Amino acid sequence: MKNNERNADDVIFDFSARSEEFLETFFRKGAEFTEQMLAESQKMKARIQELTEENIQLRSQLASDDAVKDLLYKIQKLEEEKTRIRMSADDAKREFQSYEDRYEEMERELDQMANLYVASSQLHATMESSQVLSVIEQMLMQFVGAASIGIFLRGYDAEQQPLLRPVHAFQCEHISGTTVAWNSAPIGEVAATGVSYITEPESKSDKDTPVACIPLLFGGDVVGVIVVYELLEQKDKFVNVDYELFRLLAEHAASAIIGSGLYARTDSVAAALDCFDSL
Amino acid sequence: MAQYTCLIVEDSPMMRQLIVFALGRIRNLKVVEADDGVDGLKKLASGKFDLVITDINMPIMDGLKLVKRIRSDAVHKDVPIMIITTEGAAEDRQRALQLGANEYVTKPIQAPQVISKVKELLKIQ
Repeated sequence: MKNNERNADDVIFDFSARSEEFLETFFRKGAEFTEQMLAESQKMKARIQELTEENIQLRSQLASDDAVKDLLYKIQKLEEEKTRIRMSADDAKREFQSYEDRYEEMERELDQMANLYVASSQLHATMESSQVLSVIEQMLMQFVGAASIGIFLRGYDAEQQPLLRPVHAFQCEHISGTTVAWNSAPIGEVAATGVSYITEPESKSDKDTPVACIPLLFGGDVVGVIVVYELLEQKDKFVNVDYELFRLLAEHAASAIIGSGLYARTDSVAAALDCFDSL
Repeated sequence: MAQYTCLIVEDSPMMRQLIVFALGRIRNLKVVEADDGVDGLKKLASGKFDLVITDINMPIMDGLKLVKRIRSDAVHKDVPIMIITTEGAAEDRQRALQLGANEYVTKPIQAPQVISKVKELLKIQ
C-alpha cells in the first residue's frame, strides 16, 4: 500500500513537474512569440512610415509634374498667342503702310487738283486778251517753273498757207517778228499734228530750242502753240502735275484766247450776251 | 477760331490763290493777302502777324526790301519770314537769309513742303 502511495506521490510530483515545465515552456515560447510579434510590428510600422513618406514624395512629384505640364501648356498657348499677335501686328503694319501710301497719293492728287483748279479759274477769270496771255505765262512760270515762254497763234501767209505768229513772249524776245512754218519741227509740227512735244529738260542743247510745245486746240483744230524754251534753274524735270497742266492748257487756253478775242469786238458785257437772245 | 495769322505778299493772284489753298489745310490759320511790299507793310502795321510769306520779284517794293524793313521794325522784327520765289540761285538764297528771312522756298512750290515749313516756323505739331 505504501508502495502504492509513493507511486501516487511520484506521479503527482511528476505531473506537477511536467506541468511546470510545460507552463515554463509555454510562457517562454509565448514571450518569445510576443517579442517576435513586437519586433515584426516595429518593422511593419517602420515600413509603413517609409511607404507613407514615399507616397507623399510621389504625390508631390506628381503634383509638380502636373504643374510643369500646366506651365508647358500655358507657354505653348502664349507662344501661339504671340504668333497670332505678331501676325496681326504685321497685318496692321502693312495696312498702316498702305493707308500711309494712299494718304500720300491723295495728298499729291489734292495738290494736283488744287493747281489745276487755280489754273483753270484764273484762265477764265478775265476776258481781256492781254490778260489771258499773261495768265498762261503765269501758269507756266508759277506752276511748271518755266523761265522762258512764247505763245504762237495761227495766221496765214500771202498764199493763204497756215503759219504761226508769236503774240506773246516772256524772256525770249528773239521770237518777236518771226513766223514759224506750219510743218517745221518741232513747233510747226505740233501745230500740224496737234500732238504735244515734250522733251527731257536735261537733254536740251541751247536756249532757243523748245523744251515743250503744247498745241492750242479749239473744236478739234489747232489754233496755236505754246512754247516753253527754258525752265527755272531749280527745275530739272517735268512731273505729273506738269503734264496735267499742259493737257489743261491744250484744251482750255485756246477757248479762253478766242473768247477774249471775240469779247474785244463787243463794247460791253450786255452786247456779248445779245447772241443768247435768239436762242 | 484762328490762333495764327499769316500775311502773304505776292503779286501773282494765281500764286496767292495756290498758297492760300495750301495753307487752308493748316487748322486755326488765318491768311491776309497783299499785292506787293508796300501793301504788305500796310497790312502788317494794321494787325498782329505770326508769319510773313513773301515773293521776291514784285512791283513797287520787292520782297528783299520788305524783309529788311520788317527786320528793322521794332514791333515786327521777330516775325518769321518765308520767301517763295522763282530765284533759285544759291547767292539769292544766301542774300535773303542774310537779310533775315527764315526759310527760302523756290517755285514751283510743292504744297506739302510749304505746309511743313510753315508748321515748323509756327511751331505747330
